[in-house]
Amino acid sequence: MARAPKPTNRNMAGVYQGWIRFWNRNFERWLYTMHRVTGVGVGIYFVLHIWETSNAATALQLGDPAVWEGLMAFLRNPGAHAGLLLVALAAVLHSLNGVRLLVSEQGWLIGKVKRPTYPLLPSSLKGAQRPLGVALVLVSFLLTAYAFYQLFVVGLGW
Amino acid sequence: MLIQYLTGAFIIVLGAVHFALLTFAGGGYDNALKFSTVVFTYTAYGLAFELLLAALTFHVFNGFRKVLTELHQGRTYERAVTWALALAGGATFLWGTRTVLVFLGVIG
Repeated sequence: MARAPKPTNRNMAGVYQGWIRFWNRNFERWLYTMHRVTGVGVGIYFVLHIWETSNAATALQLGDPAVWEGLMAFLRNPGAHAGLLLVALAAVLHSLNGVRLLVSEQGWLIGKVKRPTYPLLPSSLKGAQRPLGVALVLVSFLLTAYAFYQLFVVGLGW
Repeated sequence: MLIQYLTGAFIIVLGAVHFALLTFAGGGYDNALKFSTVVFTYTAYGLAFELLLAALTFHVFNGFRKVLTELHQGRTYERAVTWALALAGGATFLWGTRTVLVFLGVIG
C-alpha cells in the first residue's frame, strides 16, 4: 500500500497564490491571510515601538523630558494616528483570530466528523468556529471604533 | 506550535492591560503620553512590562520565522532565518530591557 504523503503546513504557493489570492476561497482562508498580514504589520510596529519608548528612558537619563515630549509632539498628527488606528485594528484582529486558532486546533467548535455527502463541505467548517470567526471580525471593528475615539477625539481633539 | 499559542494567550492578557493603561487608567490617551505619566507607569508596572516584552519578542520573531519558513524551505535557508531572527529578537529584547531597567533605577 502506498504511504500517505506527510502532512505539511507549508505554504508552497508563495505570497501571491498563498496569501493574496483569497477571493475565490473560503472565509477561513481570508482569516489566514489576515492573520499573516496583521502579524507581520504588528511585529514591525512592535520593533518601532521599542525604539520609540526607549526615548523615554533616554529622557530620564538626561533629565530632559523634552526628548520624549518632542517625539510625542512630532507624532501627534492625523497621519501618525491613522497608522496607530491600523495597528489597533491589526492587533485586535490578530489576537481574537489567535484565540479562534487555539480553540479549533484543540478540536473544539469544529463540528463532528461525518461521512462526506454532497456538496462535500469539510465538516470542520460546519462547527461553531465559523460564526466565531465572523463575531471576532465584528468585535475587532467595534474595538477599533473605541481606538478611533481615543486617538482622534481624545488625542487630537476632533 | 504550543509555545506560540501560550505566549499569544499571555500577550492578550497583558496587552489588554497595556491598552487599558493608555486609555482608562491613564486618564485618556492624551494624558497617558505625558512624561510624568510615563515615568509613573513604568515605575509601577516595570516588571509587567518586562514580561510582556519577553513574550512579545519571542512571539513576534518566532512568527516572522514561521512566515519565512512557510514561504520557502531549505536546510541552509531555514537555519539562516532562525539564527538571523534569534539575533534580531535578542537585540530587540535587550533594547526594551534597557528602557525598563532605566525606569526601575537599575541603570543610571
